[in-house]
Amino acid sequence: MPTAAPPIYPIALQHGLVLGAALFAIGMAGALTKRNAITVLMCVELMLNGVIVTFVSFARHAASTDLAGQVFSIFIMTVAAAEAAVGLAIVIAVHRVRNTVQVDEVQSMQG
Amino acid sequence: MVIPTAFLVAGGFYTFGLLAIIGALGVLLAHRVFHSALFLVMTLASVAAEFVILGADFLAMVEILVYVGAIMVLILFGIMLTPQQVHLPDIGSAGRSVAAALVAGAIFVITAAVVVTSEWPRSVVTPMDVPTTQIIGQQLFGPYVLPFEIASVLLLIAMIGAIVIARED
Repeated sequence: MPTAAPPIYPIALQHGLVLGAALFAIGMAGALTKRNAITVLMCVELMLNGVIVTFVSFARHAASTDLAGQVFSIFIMTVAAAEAAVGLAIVIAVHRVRNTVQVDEVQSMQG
Repeated sequence: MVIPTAFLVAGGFYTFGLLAIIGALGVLLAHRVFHSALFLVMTLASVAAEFVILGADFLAMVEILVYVGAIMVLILFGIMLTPQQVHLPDIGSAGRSVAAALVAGAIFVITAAVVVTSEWPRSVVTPMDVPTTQIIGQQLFGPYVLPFEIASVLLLIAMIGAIVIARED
């Protein structure tokens, strides 16, 4: 009796990877052009989300079932949370000292 | 009438993928910072839905809890505590915006071209009804216990650092 062919997962791996690349590229465009420091932080979160989508797509399509991609995604989220906390603390500290949150007005360390 | 599961899975994936990209473009193009934050919530929720479709149920919940719950509240507090100009133009000249768009677009096109033209091993269909929480827990306390501890220390350092940086005096 021939074994039935395994069902094909309806979403190709490439589609998840392209979605991750799109989120990364959009976030990068924002991080390069935005003037408000908080918006820049949001765009960095977008970039991190693009990478997480890539990892989860690989975890879904990998031959192994140890879910290494999802474990990596948890570590990325940890770093993202730490980055958001410290980044916003820096924004608030800069606002207290310089009275601005615009990244192009804070350039005293520019050579 | 029975809707085939494959159709639901694929339809959900592309719908939420489109919503995620629309939200990301909204973050990029919105004039008010608060609108950008709302668009970011839309993107993060769509990404969480994608995780459910991709079989990552635990990660979807973590995405909602950590990103939509914690990070977005933190960002909204940041918006609230700092003065916001409504129509803040983008940084620099128009040429710089064009350059940034070119760089980001080039990265997307190159990445997508590599993804599409590469030979990927045939996808293995693992059962989708297996909860991932137990496996992730065993992984975190098994082979990944050292990164797990380092992540704990990193969170502690970030917490102390954020308090020290942001406090008055």
